[in-house]
Amino acid sequence: MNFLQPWLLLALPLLAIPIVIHLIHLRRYQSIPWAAMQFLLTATKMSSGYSRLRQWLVLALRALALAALVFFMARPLASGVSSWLASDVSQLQILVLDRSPSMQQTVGEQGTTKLQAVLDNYIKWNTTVGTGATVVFTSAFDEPLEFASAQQLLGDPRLQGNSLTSDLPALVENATRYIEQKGAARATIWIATDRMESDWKSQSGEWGTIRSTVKEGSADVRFQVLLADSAMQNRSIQLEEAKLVPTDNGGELSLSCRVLAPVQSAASSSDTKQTVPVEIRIGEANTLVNVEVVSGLGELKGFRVPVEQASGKAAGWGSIQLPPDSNLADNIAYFAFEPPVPRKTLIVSEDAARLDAISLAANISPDGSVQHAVQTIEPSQLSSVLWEDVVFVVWHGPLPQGEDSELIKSFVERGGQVLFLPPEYPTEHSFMGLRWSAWVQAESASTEEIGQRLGPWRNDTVLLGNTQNGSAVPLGDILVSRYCTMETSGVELASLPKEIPWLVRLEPVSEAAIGTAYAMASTSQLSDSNLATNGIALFIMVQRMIHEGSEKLGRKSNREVEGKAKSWSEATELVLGNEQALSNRRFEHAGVYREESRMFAQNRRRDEDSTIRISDQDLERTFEGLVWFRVDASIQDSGVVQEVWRWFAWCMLIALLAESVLSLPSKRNHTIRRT
Amino acid sequence: MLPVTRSFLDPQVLSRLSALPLLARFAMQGNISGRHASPHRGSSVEFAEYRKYVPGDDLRRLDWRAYGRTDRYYVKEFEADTNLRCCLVVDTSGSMEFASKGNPTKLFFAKCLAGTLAYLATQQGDAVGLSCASEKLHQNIPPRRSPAHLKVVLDQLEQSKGAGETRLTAVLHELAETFRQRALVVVVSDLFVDTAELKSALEHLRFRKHDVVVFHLLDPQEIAFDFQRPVRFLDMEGGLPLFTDPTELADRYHRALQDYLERIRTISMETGVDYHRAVTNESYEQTLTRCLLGRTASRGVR
Repeated sequence: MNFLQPWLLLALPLLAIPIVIHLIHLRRYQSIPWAAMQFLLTATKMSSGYSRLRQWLVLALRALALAALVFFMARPLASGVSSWLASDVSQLQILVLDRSPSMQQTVGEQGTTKLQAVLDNYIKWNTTVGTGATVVFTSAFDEPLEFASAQQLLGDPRLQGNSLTSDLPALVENATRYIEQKGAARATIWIATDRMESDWKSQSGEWGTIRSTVKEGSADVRFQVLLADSAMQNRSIQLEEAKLVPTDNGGELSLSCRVLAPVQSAASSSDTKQTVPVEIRIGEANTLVNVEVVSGLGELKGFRVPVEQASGKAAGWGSIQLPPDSNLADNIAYFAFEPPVPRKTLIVSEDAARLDAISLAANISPDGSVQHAVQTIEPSQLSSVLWEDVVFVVWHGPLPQGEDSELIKSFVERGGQVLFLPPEYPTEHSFMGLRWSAWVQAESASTEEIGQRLGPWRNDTVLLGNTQNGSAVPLGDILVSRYCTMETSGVELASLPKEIPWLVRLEPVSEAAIGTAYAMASTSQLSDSNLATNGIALFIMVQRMIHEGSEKLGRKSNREVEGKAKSWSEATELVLGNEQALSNRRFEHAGVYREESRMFAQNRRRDEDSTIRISDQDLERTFEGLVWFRVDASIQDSGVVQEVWRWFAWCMLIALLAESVLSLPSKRNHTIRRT
Repeated sequence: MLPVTRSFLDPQVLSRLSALPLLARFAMQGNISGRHASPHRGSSVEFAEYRKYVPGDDLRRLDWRAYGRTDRYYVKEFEADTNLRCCLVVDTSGSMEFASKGNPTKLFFAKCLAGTLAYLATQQGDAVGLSCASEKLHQNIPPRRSPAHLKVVLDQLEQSKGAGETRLTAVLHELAETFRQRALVVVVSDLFVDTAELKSALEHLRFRKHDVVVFHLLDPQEIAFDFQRPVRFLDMEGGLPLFTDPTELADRYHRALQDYLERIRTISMETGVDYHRAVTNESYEQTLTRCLLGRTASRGVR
């Protein structure tokens, strides 16, 4: 056991005080002449029994109270709960470390951040107890980090704060899995974090899985939640949009951002206004803009900054920044901009003339700043296609085979969208669980209509979902006069009467694939359907597939930090951002980066600026049924130690209480009868 | 009557108690006429019985009216009232000198009781004697009924001091043998004697048809035993001292005391003595009033 003030242990001989007092008490007797000696002699011959035991118990309890007082004042570091946790030093110590931007808020005037506070607390505890090795689970690391001693945690560049939101349930689940793999009999999982709900995800079902895993597991797992908190004022800034708007003079950058300044106390009224200066940096030029914050929220909408470059070539980067406050990590947001990349649609068809309507729908750009393009080729020319700008492929013909199939699969894996249309002469081949069978002439439901009316369809999907104002995609107006039956294991999105599949989302190419492939049973040719003449539904579907493809193929200049090392190219260079970050760990930090010739910026997730915190009740519910302790970390002192004091204080209190109960004089009846 | 100047006699108490007679519970055999019932026939106004005339009887006692009715000779007899011999037995052992703070010694309390009773008895014409029962002081003043004798008794009471072991049981046996006629024996003591011996002595007195009154004196501290510090108890009757922690011993002490009091009560019931327990922080007048009133209700049968 270690103590913050071990010299106070010199007072331990004070334990002898009750015994000395007892002896002195015995010496301080008085001599009294006594008449009723016969009763005294009779009493001494009786069994002393409980009264003597009580006397010794009282003496022992007094000594115990003194001992507890001495230990209490000596401030034990590794006693109580922590001592129990560390009673077996060979047990596994796992630290789940939250390095999110919210953890970079300072907790005191000395500039210590929450992250440093929890790390200091843990290191102090670990060093004192001497448990040695620590395994760290933290965001952006797929594998745990192993440290031979807690001191190594100090100043390790890998453990500096990043811009990722920690997924605590996932990290804890990884930790429990690690414990099982190691076959440890006992383990302690330290969760060093703050109270941000965005990190805890207390409503996540994963906590339930963790609870059942720990309960059913063979290892004795205990949780120590090391919470850091700060009452200091903090503001944050979020980038809404940074896009280049072409003008006659070249181009202007349109910036939209939000400033969040949570109202600290209820006393300050909701209509409190404050002006926050926002520094906009574009390249090497700075601009200062005042943003008015009302009720904790200030917005800058479409702020125009001229860009002195030719419209077609304008590209750049910059940042928007707030004045320093308690958390520097959320005071800056980065952006990059470039001329919009054309979104190319590739139509692969043996008879492209039949797909004019689709070609037309793909060629129309809903946004004037983005160019749409369509390239039509025959299947045999596929190998010569430049895939860089392609976001959407329409495949009309026999299903791809050989090298073609590999190209298409690769495209879907990367995030591309593919629409398969039935060939005039279906073959036996299958691709992605799809096989075309035979063309069927649809029977008209009435004499007035040619073909069958489409429906029902699923409006909870990306492709057929309702529009932003809640209107349904007008698929009910589509009449299908001819369709090709298909054999598929995909998900049916729209069908004809009698449950005949018409539009199907094919099964994924692989687990890692982020693109989607669809199959439609009719073409846009008039002989098949009225998709061309009633083109609203066709236009919506095509535009949605193009948009989805461009989003997933990663052609965005501004994005959120993902924390995936795999998708990060080694050639990526830092332009603006955290220069102290390790060069191979930059993917987890916000900043402006250059990948080959392209610039992009990444920022923390918006959840990080949320003020929603996990409540004590939710915290207790999260660890319901598990052995867990909560420690509030602070910079002044070790929170781990504070918990220990209480045990000694309680011990002293109980000892004194028991002593007073035992010392109570027994109730005696001194009245005697006269006769 | 003698002037009352003793510390243990309070004229006001004597005045108040004079209204209450000191009566024997049984028939007494006195020398002269008095207030107490006698086993013999006498010349009181209370009719006793008719008896057949036998030669030698005084003709003046023949009941001529009965002769007129029955033609037989009957003699009319009346109850005799007599005086009594009151023997006060005061325990003057060392233990009687015990007094807790603010209370009189048990011996002083005993003197108050005995002196007042002696005064009352003398005032109603009874003979009063005194026996002091201790190892070191063994005085025996035989009962006399003269007021001058009361001075002797009171002087003796005043001079007596508690010392040594008690000889109570021996004195009681001695008295039982000494008095040939029935007497009222008043025992004033803390009764710190062997209960078996005490029972034997009281039975002896009762066997000799004496009326026995026992005043059992106790000090409040002997009952409470509420010491807070270790105490070295010095035996007031000369025994070995005892060192102990009263807080530890108190429970057992009280058990022993209760057992003892219960035994004394049983003995008093079995032997038929008039038993009165008195705590020295109370007024002795109350104790005496209680005793005298109790005896009035059970005035002696012949």
